[in-house]
Amino acid sequence: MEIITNSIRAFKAEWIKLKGTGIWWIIIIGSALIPVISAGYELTYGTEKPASGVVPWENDIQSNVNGFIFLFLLICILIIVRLCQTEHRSQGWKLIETQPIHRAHLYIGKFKMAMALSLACLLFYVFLNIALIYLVAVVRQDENYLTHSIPIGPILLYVLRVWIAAWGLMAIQYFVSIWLTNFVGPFMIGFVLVIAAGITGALQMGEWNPYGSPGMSSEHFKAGVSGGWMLHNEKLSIAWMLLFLWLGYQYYFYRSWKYAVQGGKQLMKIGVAAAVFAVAFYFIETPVTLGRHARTVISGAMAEPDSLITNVVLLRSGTMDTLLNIPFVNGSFHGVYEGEPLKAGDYVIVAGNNGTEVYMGDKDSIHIRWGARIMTNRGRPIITGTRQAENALNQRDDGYGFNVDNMQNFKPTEFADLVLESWQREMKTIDRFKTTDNIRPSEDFINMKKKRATLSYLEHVKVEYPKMYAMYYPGKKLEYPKTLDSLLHAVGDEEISLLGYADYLDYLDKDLRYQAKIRDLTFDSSYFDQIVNSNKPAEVRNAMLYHGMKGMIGNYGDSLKRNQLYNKYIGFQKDQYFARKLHERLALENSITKGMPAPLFESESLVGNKMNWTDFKGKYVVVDVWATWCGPCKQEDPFFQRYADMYASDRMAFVAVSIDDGDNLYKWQYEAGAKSKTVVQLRAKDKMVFMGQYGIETIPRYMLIDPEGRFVATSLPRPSDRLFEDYLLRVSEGN
Amino acid sequence: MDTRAFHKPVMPFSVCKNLFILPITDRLAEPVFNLRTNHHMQHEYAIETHNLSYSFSKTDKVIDSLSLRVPTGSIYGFLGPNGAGKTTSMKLLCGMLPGKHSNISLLGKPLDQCMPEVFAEVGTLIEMPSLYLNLTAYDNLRHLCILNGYDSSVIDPILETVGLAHTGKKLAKAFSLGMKQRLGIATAIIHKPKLLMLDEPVNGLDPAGIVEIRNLLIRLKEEHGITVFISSHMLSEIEKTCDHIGIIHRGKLRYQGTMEGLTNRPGLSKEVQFIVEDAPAAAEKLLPVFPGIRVLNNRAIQINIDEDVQVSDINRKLVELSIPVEGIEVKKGLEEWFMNMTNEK
Repeated sequence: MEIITNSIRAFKAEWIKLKGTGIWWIIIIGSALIPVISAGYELTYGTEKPASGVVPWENDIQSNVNGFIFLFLLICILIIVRLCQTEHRSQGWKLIETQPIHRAHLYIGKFKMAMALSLACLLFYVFLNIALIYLVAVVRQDENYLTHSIPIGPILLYVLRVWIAAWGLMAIQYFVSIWLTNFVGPFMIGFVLVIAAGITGALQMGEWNPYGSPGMSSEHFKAGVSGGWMLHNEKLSIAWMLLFLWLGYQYYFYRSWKYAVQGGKQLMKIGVAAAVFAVAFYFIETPVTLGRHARTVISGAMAEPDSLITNVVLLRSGTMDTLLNIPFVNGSFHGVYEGEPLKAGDYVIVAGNNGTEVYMGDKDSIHIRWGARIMTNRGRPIITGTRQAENALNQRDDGYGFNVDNMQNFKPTEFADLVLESWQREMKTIDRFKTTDNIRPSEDFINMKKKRATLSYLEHVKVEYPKMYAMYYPGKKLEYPKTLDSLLHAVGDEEISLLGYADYLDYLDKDLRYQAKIRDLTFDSSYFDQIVNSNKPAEVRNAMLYHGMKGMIGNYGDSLKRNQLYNKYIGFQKDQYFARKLHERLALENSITKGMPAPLFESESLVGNKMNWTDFKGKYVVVDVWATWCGPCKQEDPFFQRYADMYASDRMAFVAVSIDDGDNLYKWQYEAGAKSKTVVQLRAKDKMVFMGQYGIETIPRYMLIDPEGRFVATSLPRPSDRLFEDYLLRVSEGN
Repeated sequence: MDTRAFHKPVMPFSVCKNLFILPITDRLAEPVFNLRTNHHMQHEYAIETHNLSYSFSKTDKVIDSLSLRVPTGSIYGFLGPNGAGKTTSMKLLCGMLPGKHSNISLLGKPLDQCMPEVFAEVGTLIEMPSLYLNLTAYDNLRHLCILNGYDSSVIDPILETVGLAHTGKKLAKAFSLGMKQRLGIATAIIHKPKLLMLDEPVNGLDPAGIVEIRNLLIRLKEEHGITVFISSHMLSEIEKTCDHIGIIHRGKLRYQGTMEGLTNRPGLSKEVQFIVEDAPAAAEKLLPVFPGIRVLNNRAIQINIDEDVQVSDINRKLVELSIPVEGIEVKKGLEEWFMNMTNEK
């Protein structure tokens, strides 16, 4: 076809005009600069080998391309301005416009050349990177790189996406370069827009700036977590390109703005283009909310599976009921839940050492990918499926609530303003959340998140600040401005949907205690009477009662009192499930209460000897339950060791029981072996059994067992606490 | 002294060829164009405009009611002083200026309907030659071949024709003005157009170059029937090259027709110049017989010619007086007429 011949000819004609423009030098030097320098640096100074478990190649390519983007944008701008300059400077437009080839071919041909050159630049950069990384790996004999094959396919796809993301800005740059005939003008415009994109990107204000698009795409090696192959900013880039190529051509055809916008037909051409663009923009940028699946499915895979893992379980969060047990075969699993429809909320999926919190509900499909540290969400597993956005938003939370130091320095109105502004900002952030695939969580989830985020603000406003105010200004009435009403009404006292969340129950508890002037950690009759006699709906009462009784059971060391209170109030627990749970809890707590024999469990020493409590008969045993991956345990360790050195005797033994297993075994061997010999290092052979028997939900945990093997205390204060030493003194003085 | 320089090229081409083309043929290549059958009989005028007007601003009309008629197969000289509107007219004819002009036709077809295909048959060189300064002469032409699908074998002969065959790897940015001009002409003729539009083609060329190009244009017209439309502000150049002329002044066409028609206009006084060794002495001797004789300088005397006073009369008289005549030049008086006309308000 003639059109194809002509467009090929126009492109080839552009090729021959590249001679002597310096464009090849720009590409080669611009692309080679960073890789060569950093490779040289690596070889000369050398850095540590990256830790094993890191996926090589992908991470390097991604971060290298990301770091190249600024230079790449400048190169693209330079290429386009230079290409147009060859025509501007030598009256070239005049020559080619008096050839028997349609102006459209000339216009598009030059742009195609610019696109081809920018792609060549990216590919050159990437392949140079691969070559140099390989060279460095060979020199340093880094098996990580030498054994992993280079994922050429995914890398090319990644490069393709970043290239497409640049199409938008290239069309705009082309438009400007054809219009302005000097060099400085178009270049400065491009430069300024690149800087502007950096600023708006950092402020998270607009993903719509086409000059920021390649940067955004370069941050994600794989397009969509859910597998789509193009991100929305890339689609938007295509829309920008079409719009500006069209506008630019209108100007180019007439070589004058006056004629380009003159007359109804021309205005319509431009107007229609703008309208089409606006529609495309809307559809691309509007986030999508996912619907539900046909069944409730849990599936997943592990990048480097632990051979000890045989199955994966789905648990209800909080109560840890097992809902589904799926076999784990060849590093992956797939199961369908067919029990009672699950309420949308928090669940836990556990595979060996990996326990992941998941938000899901009925008819949801959840897929989890546990992988190596890098490239997987800052060490967290990647959750895809119908609740992708919800889980991404959950993972984004750092768990810190709102807090204000030195509240006494704020007058009520100032405090109200501070709280209000902070709160509104956080609400907006939650509202605006969407994943890189442009998926938004469901409205219900967003509302739930917003309410739960509001809780810490409410606590400060309703409890903390009034407490402080009463202390500093006794007798004075606290008046908040009316503006705070929106916050105060954001979450009610009877939100049934939030009853499944511990933070809501904590909030209700705090509020109740403040209103009734009951101190924290007081679980006596006055407290429970408040709950039972409140005129809240039954579900709320049951949940609060459950929450309170659970706290009471866990906190009362005196088993007599514990059982008394339990018996008095269990009748008010109308929810069968809660009642059953409380019963189990009580039984467990009673079994490990003071005076009960510490359950025997299989443990082994550093050298592999089988040990048990019977080996310590006749001595008090101070137990430290820890693990190599537990940060707080490590913080307490020096204190524990010091007390071991001070107080270990033939009457008192210090034992550290580790719950490390699987891959962490060798770590335990290494770390435990390095510790002081005054502490006996043991490892629980079956972590789950041990923790279940002892009711251990969190570590570190410190316990005291008497010479007959009975519990003295199942939860000592931490060694860093003065009270710990008190305990030891009392015991060692023969109490 | 070279007498050929003063002869008008109105003799039959074959005679011309023998007389002064041949000695220069070693500089010119073989004709590069194949003889073609003459399609030009389809339209009488290669370029035609009807009351074409154009202005850049509201007040000033750069072109005013221009009605050009360039006969097919002619060499048409578009003459006018600087600023008369020549280049603007040519730009309009090539569709380079924005706006739709329905009153222009090239090769019999309305311009706004046959763009850009018409450029397959039209070659142009408007204002400065458009070249890619970062390319060699060869590459500049090769670019056009690639763009339009011509075979590259035509490039070398064209370069020979315009006298750039020796440039080799020299980039166009190092070319002299004359070389750039030659390259510009090469880009205009490379595709064997039926119509050539050249804006001041001999601008910047040395005298030898001027002659070369002039002869090339004449050859194109004679051998291949190509219509040549050239603009210039130099009357002498147009006189020597063209057979048709259009004179433009301040955007208006003052005269359009054949060269002969112009030279034979009534009211144009013809003059003849005689080159002699001692002009004042000769003038003195002639004065009694020819009272209108004037001394131009030490070596030239001039006199008006009309029915009474003929060139042969004066010549005979000089021979009688044994005054050696070294040169005779008949001036059509065109220059004077032209100066008068262009000095009008």
